[in-house]
Amino acid sequence: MKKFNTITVLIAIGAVLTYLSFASCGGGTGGTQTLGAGAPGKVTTKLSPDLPFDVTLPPPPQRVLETTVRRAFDLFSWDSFIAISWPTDTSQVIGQHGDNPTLWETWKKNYQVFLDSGQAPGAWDLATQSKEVTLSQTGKTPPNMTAIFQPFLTGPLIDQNGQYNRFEIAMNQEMFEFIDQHKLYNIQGQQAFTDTVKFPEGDNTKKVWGAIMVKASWKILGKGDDTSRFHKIRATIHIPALPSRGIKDSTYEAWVGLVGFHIGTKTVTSPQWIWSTFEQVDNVPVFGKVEKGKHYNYYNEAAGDKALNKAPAQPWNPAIPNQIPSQVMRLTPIDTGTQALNDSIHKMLVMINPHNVWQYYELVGTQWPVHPTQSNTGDPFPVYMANATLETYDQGFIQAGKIVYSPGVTSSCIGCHNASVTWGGRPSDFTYLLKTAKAVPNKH
Amino acid sequence: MMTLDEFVALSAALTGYPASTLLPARDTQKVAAALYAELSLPSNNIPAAQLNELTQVWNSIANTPPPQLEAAVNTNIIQNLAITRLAQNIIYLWYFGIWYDLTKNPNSFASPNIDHVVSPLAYTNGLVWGEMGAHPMGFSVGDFGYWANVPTLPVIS
Repeated sequence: MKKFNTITVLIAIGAVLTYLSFASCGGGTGGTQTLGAGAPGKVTTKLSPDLPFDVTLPPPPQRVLETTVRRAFDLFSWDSFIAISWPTDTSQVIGQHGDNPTLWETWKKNYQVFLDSGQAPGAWDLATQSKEVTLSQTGKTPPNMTAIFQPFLTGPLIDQNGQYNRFEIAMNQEMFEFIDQHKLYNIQGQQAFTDTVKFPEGDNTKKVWGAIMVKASWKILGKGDDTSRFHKIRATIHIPALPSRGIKDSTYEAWVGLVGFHIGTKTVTSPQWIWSTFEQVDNVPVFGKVEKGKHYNYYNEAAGDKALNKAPAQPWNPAIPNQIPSQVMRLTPIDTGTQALNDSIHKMLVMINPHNVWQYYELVGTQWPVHPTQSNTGDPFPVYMANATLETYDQGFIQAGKIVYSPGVTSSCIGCHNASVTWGGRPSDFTYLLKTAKAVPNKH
Repeated sequence: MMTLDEFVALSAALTGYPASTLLPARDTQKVAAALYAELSLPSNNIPAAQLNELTQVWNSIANTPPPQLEAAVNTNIIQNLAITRLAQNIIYLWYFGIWYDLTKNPNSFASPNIDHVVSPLAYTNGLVWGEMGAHPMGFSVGDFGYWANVPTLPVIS
């Protein structure tokens, strides 16, 4: 990844030191700015298009799971998010003009890799694969393009305007080429593949990137939405047919805003992948902490909590008035250390441009395998993690006013993806994408 | 009151698992803390005198060399009728994630005497599952198809 502009920031643990410097190889902005005073144990991060290969942990004596180690993984998440959300025109800086087309939006979409025909996908070509965005997937998992459910058939996500959330999955070149080279893009290819599926791993020593897959959650922008607070794109919205309700297959153009974002990164230190999840800051309140008068994307205080975190009526028809859409709260608050890091990075983004849309995205958390060789799942931490727009109904249960988490039921990225398989009945290395492959039609 | 460190050391002697397994340096599951909290849970009705005696007895033998420790635990705790029930409850905590009611049928560990499951994680992390080469019902970290393989049993160091 060629680097033209770099904003390097040193963030001290405890948010004591923040040091910002601008450097340019392309004749861009220059200068240095110091935001605070120094402290020991500082960790380096930077706002730059340089995508990290793997996490960089503090020296062993300084490793504390809940603080310094979590901070290292959270920094990896933010560095990754910034790098892949960087403008495709790398002579610019992220959010320099408020919003920008991103690198990850040029990656191959799942439907561009796993073709309905089962044929080999086209070669990696940024110019062609980023031209169109069709958002027809209304569930996180894409068994087909008309799915309307999140994982485990828990339900769709409906915003306050009564519209379905849309979802999109893309992968980087390293992941795509592994699939392409091993012919895993169709069912026959997967059934013929007798080796272990093992995607490339990011490696700091070798300076190579591993497989990365991203899942984006979009809302159709409409009434009540402050569009200046979203990364937005113009997309083709596909409405799948629902004959039982008289709904015909159709499409229309609309502006959609990014509300949720997963990054899954395979690395040497984390063969169970590193799972980073971000959300738009206006999505939902934290359980029991509703801000009076605030407009949330997926919560309306006036609607009460009777349907809190429960799937709405199905099949949901946006055309029917006076329905109660998804009423969602975040059950697990963002860790205080993670939130401090969010605040620090938001300040940097605002320094680039007060109207920088990326300041309205926050890291909800990072999950990684703490003991990668201990078991298949590697002892993930935190044990549970959920994005309110992607695992809306799997965050846990509320019983007698208390939150109850259940292993194997409450959302855990690694715990769930450990069960993924290929069409050949073999573990698929923590991705369900391979199961979306289609068969090449029999010629007979 | 027994400290967390004392609880973990005593638990290691009672269960046969090393303290570093029961309370790992990088503790993701927080099971030891959850089980330890049972000792101070008012609804568990643990007589203070019983808990104090168990603590004192354990501290009196805690530095026994490992080859003799098992016998010391057996003589001073398991065979001591004043504290054996509480010690056995701690063993059950670790193996099943379950707290037995100390006030009911003091000599029975039949299922009707189960008071509560400490937590979902205490249950899924119960030592019994590894001992059996199995996993708790409804939860497994095995990869796809693991059920076709012969179970592997752990070797307690």
